[in-house]
Amino acid sequence: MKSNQLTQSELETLIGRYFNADTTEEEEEILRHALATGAYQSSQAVGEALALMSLTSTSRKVTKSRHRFTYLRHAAAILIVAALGVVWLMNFNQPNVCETYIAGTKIEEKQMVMSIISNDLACMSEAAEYFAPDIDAQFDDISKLLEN
Amino acid sequence: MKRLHQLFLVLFALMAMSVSAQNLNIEQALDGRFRTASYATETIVEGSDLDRFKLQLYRSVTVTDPEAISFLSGLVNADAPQAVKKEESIRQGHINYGFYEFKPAKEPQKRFVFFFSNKSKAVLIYMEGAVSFNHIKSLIKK
Repeated sequence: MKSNQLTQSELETLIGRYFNADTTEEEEEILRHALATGAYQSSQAVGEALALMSLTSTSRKVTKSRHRFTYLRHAAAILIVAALGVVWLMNFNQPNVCETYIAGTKIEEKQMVMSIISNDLACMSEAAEYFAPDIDAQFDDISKLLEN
Repeated sequence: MKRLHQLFLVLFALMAMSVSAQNLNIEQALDGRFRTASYATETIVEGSDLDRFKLQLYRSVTVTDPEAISFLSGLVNADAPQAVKKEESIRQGHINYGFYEFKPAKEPQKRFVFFFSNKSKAVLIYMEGAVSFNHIKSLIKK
C-alpha cells in the first residue's frame, strides 16, 4: 500500500484502524505521508488524525530539545563547579608551611622559624631607624620641590 | 542561557584576575636557589602561623656572600620603580634600605618588600597580606 494510491475511504479506514491501534509501523508511515500531502477532503477523522500526528511529532521535538537542554544544564553545572574549584584552589586553599634553611640545613621547628622572623624584623627595624634621616631628607627635598 | 553566559564571564574574569598578577623580579631570589648555600638563610611561612601578624605569606632570605648581595640589590633595584608606595635610602647608587608596597598579586592580598644591605649582608623580606603599609611598618617597630 502506497500513500498516493489511497482513496478517501481507504484513508478513513486506515485512520479508524490507527485509532484502534491496529496499524503496523509501515501503515502508520503511509498514513502520515498521505495526511502530509493534504490531497484528501477534510473530515472529522482526517482532522483528528492530523491533530494527533502533528501533536506526536511536536511532542518528540519537545522531548529531544528538553533532553538537549538537560545535557547543557548538566554540562554547565559541571563547568561552573570546576571553575569555582579552580578559583577556590587558587585563592583560598592556603597550605601551612613553616620552615627555614640555615646554611643548607632545613629546620621545621616552629619556635626556631618564628625567632628567625623576629630577627629579620629587628634587623629591618634597626635599618629603618638608621636610615630614617635619609628618608626624611628625601621627603624634605620633595616638599621643597613642590613648594617651588 | 543568558544568565549562564554572564556567570561564565564573571568566573573567567575572576580566574583571569587570579593568574594575571605581575611577577616581581625579587621572586627569583625566593625560588629556593639559596636553600643549600652555606652563606644564606631562607625562611618560608605560610598559613595559620602568620595569623598574629595578619599576614598570609612571609618569605625572607639573608645572604652574606658579596655576589649574592649584589644579585639581591639588582633585583630590588629592578622592582622599585613598580612600587605603589615606598621609602628608601639610596647611597652612591645603592639601595641601603627600602620598604615597598606593590600592586596585589591576588586581591585583597597586598605585596610588601623590605630590603636592607651593606657590604657584608643583605636581607630581603617579602610579605603578602590584606593589610596596610602602616601595619607592616608597625611590625618592625615591635
